[in-house]
Amino acid sequence: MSKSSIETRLDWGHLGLLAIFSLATLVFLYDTLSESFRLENVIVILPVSLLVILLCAVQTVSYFRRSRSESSIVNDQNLAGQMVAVESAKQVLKQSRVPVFMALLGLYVLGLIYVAFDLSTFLFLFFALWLQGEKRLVFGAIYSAVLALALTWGLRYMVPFPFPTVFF
Amino acid sequence: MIDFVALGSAFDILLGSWQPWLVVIPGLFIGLIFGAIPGLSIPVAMAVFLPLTVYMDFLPAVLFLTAIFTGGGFGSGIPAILMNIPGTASAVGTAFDGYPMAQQGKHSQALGIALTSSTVGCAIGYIVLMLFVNSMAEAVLKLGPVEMFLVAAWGLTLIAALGSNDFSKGLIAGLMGVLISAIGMSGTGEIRGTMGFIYLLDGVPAVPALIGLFAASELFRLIGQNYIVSDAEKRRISFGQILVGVQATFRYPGILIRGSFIGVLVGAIPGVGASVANLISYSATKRRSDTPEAFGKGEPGGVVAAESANSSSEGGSMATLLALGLPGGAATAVMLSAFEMHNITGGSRFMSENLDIVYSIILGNFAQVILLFIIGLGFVFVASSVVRVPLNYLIPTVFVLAIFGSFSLTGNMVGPITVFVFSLIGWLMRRYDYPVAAMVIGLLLGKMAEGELIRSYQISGGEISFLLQRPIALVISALLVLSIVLPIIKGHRKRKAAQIAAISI
Repeated sequence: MSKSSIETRLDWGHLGLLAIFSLATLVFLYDTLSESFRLENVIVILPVSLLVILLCAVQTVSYFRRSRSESSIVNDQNLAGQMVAVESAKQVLKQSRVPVFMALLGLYVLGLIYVAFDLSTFLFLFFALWLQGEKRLVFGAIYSAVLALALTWGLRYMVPFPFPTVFF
Repeated sequence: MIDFVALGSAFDILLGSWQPWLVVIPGLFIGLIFGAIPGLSIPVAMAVFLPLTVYMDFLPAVLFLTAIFTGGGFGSGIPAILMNIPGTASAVGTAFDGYPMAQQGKHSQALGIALTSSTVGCAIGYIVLMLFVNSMAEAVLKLGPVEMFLVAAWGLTLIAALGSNDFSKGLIAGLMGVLISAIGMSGTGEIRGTMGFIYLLDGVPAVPALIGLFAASELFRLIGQNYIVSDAEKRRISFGQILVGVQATFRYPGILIRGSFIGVLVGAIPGVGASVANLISYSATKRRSDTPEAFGKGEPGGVVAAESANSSSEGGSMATLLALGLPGGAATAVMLSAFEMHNITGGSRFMSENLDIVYSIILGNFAQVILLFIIGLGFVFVASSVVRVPLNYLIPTVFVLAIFGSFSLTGNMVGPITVFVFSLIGWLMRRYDYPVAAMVIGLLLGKMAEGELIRSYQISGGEISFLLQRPIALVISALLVLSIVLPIIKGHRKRKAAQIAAISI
């Protein structure tokens, strides 16, 4: 088994997630210890942080071991490998919408802060429907407008907190 | 235990006027709707409608608010079952098995089971309240931080049970939840992990975080599909199947009764309540089951355990409110405001002077439970049509509801930002098979566990022998150890028996 075949089986996303967990834990632990070394301050955070870092390390090592063994299995099953590739291509196509949807959600939250609740909600709903494959744009626009206005009116009626709007 | 003269007066009060009953049905509907919309919690519903109670007499005012409480207790289980999004933290355990049932096309049955468990649990909670209201209140006063820490620790042990495919992944997720819960100002005044953001001083808001974690892991996964239930035949909404679920609940009498008692006991502890009760009950049920591997894959017993506990905790929280005047959580705090608006203070004096009113509240709640069952049957029939809504409309709509709900909870943009950030975390975790539920449990219980552990340390001066002076803590510790050790012994014996059987063949 060549070195490159192992590399192609590695899922950098998973390793990235483990790195995020470890790094966030280290930063949090550093921040906690710089605040104070008092037992009350570290009684839970210190042991829990050390355990998380240890578990992430164990998970990373076992991940590399699994990847190595899976690579050899895939090499032995060429046809099955091709079928998996077709299926995963379909999956990739489907999943490609997810990051776009996430970005749209992020823009929506920013819109709530910097634009207005009703307008941002309308735009989010309209573009989300379009992204989800809604071909009837007029119907989509009407649905988005009615829901955005109804929810904003309901929120205005219900909560005492101020929030920016265009219509209410 | 029961003062029959006061009980007779309570019947007279309730049957002598139609006025107290007028507000119960609207209250149940409000509770069901607010509970069923992710982010709109039961305390929010009660706070919104609290001003209306000024114009009511005391008894109708309390019945109106308890109707919202009762309705919301069940309502939050509906999105947990249909969309894997718990309406409130108290329905987290319901989603574990309710949603897999819905995916298998058993959504009507799951809703029937949840409704029945919820109503039976609530009724048991109020029966216990009627019989032991005073002794429960006295017991609550004996609970200290040691006991509270043990209760939180009991809930946290569920984390271990959730990483069934990979134990270390479940543990990483749960412990990350505990760390996230520690962000903000600690009980002793240290500021940790806020990165300079003033909004994080109060910590990460748990409910928007749990909505983000659950909503993301499910809604993002559903992108590209047409319906929640892919098989068109299984999307059929069947009243008959709801009734099958109702009947199926009674096949789990042990789980139903145990869940109800766990709920009422945990609910009575101020600051704990339904969000912890449902997890402890689910955890206890899974550990005691002969088929623990079936849990999390659509096991009806899991739904019974979670729903009976979260609903019966209402009775427990009412005990501390009525007998001590202490609110156990946000919902009973709103109810305490209604007490004050009518110049009434809960406590032993209120109990001794107004026992007929107390019994009226309890009896009124029995009637509410029956009404909830009837109204709930119709409500879940309509609500289950969610499975027939095309996902291209459902996904953006639920996201908007979650964002609006989170804003109403926090009153600022911290709620929506939290939903967004935890959406990304939840999606990543699910993609790499980390149980998001474990992180939610850590998030819900971590802060409580840390706070109570620090207080225990301060009171005891770090002496372990202090535990020996706390009989209730010893009992909880023993139960906790037994609940962990017994399933391990049981599993070991089972494996040994299987090995012997295999050899003999």
